Amino acid sequence: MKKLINRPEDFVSEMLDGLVKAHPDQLAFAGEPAAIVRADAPAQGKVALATGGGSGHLPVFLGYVGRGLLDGCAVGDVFSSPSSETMLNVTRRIHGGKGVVYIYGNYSGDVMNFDMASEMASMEDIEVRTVLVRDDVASAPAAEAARRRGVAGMAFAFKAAGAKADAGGSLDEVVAAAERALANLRTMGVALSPCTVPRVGKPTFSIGEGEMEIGMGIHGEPGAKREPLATADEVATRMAEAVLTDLGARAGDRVAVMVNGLGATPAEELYILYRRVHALLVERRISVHRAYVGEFATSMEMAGASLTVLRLDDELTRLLDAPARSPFFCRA
Amino acid sequence: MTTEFEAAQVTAAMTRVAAALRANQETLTELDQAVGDGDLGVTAVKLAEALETVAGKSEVADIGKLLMEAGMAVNRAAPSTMGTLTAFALLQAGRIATGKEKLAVADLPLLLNAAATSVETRGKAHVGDKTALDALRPAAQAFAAALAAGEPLAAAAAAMVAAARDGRDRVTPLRSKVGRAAWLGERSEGKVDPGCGFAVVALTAIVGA
Repeated sequence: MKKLINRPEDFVSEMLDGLVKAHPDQLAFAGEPAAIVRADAPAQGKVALATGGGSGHLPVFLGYVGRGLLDGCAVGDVFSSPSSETMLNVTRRIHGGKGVVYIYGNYSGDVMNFDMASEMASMEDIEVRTVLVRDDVASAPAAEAARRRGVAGMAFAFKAAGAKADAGGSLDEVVAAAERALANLRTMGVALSPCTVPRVGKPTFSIGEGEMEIGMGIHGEPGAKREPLATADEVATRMAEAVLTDLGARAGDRVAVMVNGLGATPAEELYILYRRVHALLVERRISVHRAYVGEFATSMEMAGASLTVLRLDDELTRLLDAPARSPFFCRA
Repeated sequence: MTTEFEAAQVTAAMTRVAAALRANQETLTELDQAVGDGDLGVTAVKLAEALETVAGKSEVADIGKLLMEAGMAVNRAAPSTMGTLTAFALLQAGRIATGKEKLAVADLPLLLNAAATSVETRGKAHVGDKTALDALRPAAQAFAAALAAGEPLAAAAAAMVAAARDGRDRVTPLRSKVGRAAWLGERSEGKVDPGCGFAVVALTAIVGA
C-alpha cells in the first residue's frame, strides 16, 4: 500500500477534519465527526436533502453538500455505510420544517441504516422521503433495474433535487425532480486498476497489465466481465451503446453527458473518451446541452472511467442550469 | 449439562465470537474481495471491538437488554451491511429475551430463529438467494429439530453448526441474487458467500466448539 496517510484507521476522520477546516464558510460538523452539513444549516422553510454512504468516492457523497445541492451527508468508513445514528443527527440538523429527502445509492448497508434513521426521524415528527439511485446498467439487466447499484449518475439527481428545493419546491416536488432525473439517466464504467482500502492494506482485486474490468462499480466490486484492454474509442463506444440502448435514447433527444474519472485516470484520457462519445451522439443526431468531464464519483486511486447520459426536458434543463456551489461543484 | 443460561454466559459467548472474528479477519476479507468490496474483515474487527466492550463493562442481568445493548453498539461501530444485519439480529433476539435473567434451553432456538428472521426481513433476502440467511436458516431449523427430538444440547449445537456449514456449501455453486455479489452475475458462481462464511464463524464461536 502506497498512500499519503497517517494511521489507516484515521483515514476518514482526518480527511473530514481537513475538509471542514479548508471550507469553514461552506461546511460544518453536526455534533459528531461523521455528520457533515452546510455551514448555514438548517435552511428554514426549504425542503432539506441528505445523502450518505461510505468514504473513498470524493466528490461523492459529501462533495455535493452546498447551496443549490444537498444540505447534509452522513459519512461512513471507507466503502461502508454510516450508522443510522449519524444519519439521524444529520436529519435533525438540516430539517428546516418542510421535510427531508434521502437520496443515496442502492447498497444494502446504506438502505438498512437509512430506513432505520427514517423510522427514528418520523418518531420525532420529521417527514422523510427516500429516493434510491440505481443508475449502473452493468450491475443488472433492464428487467431487474431495481437491483442496480448507484454510481456517478447520482450527481445529476443531487443537482436536480437541490435546485428544485432551492426554488421552493414542496417535498413531493423535490422527490419528483430527483426521480425524473433518475428515470432519464444511465451510467456504465470500466476499470483498469484496483484500489486499496486503507485498513485492509492490499488491493481489492488484481488485474493484468493488458486487461480491463467491464462494468466495474465504485467500490472495486468486480464487474460483469474481464476482457483485454481496448482503445479509448472502443471503450467509449461500448459504454455509450450500453447506456443509450438502456435509456432508449433517440434522434432529436437533448442530453447532458458526464465522463467521470475513477480516481487515477488523468483528465487527458477522459477528454479522449469524451471526443468519441460526442462523435457517436452527433452520428445519432442527439444534441449535447452540456458536458461534464472530470471527477464526480471516484474509487480512491482506481484507474478507469464511467459514462453517464442524462436525457433532458425543459424542466430538467432548468434544474441542471440553476446556480449551485459546493467545495467540489460549482454552477454559477 | 447446563440447563439454564445467565447474562454471564451470554457475555462469554460474545467474547468467543469476538475472538473468532479477529482470528478470521484475513479469511473474511479474502471472501469479500472475491465478490464484494473487501471490507468484511474490517467490519469483523470493528464488530469484535464492540462486542468486547459490551461484554467487558455490561452489568445488566436482563439478557434481552444485554443483547439489545450489544446490537446498538454493533450498529454504531460497524454499520456496513454485515454489521447492520448483525445489529438487527441482536436487537431482534434481544426483544424476545427482554425481561429474562435466565434462559432455558428451549428459549435458545427461538432467539436464533428471531435472528434469522430479522436477517431475512431487513436484508430482503430469501433462502436460496445466496446470503447469510442460507447458513442461518438451516442452522436455526436443525437446532430446533434436534432439541425437539430430545437430543442433548451439545448434540443439537453440533447439528446446528453442521447445518450452517452445509447451507454455506450448498449455495456456493449458485449465482448470488441479493447484495453486492449479485452484481457479478455468473461470476459469483462457485465462490463462497462471504455472509455465509461470516455466519459460520459466528455460530461456531457461540457454541464454543
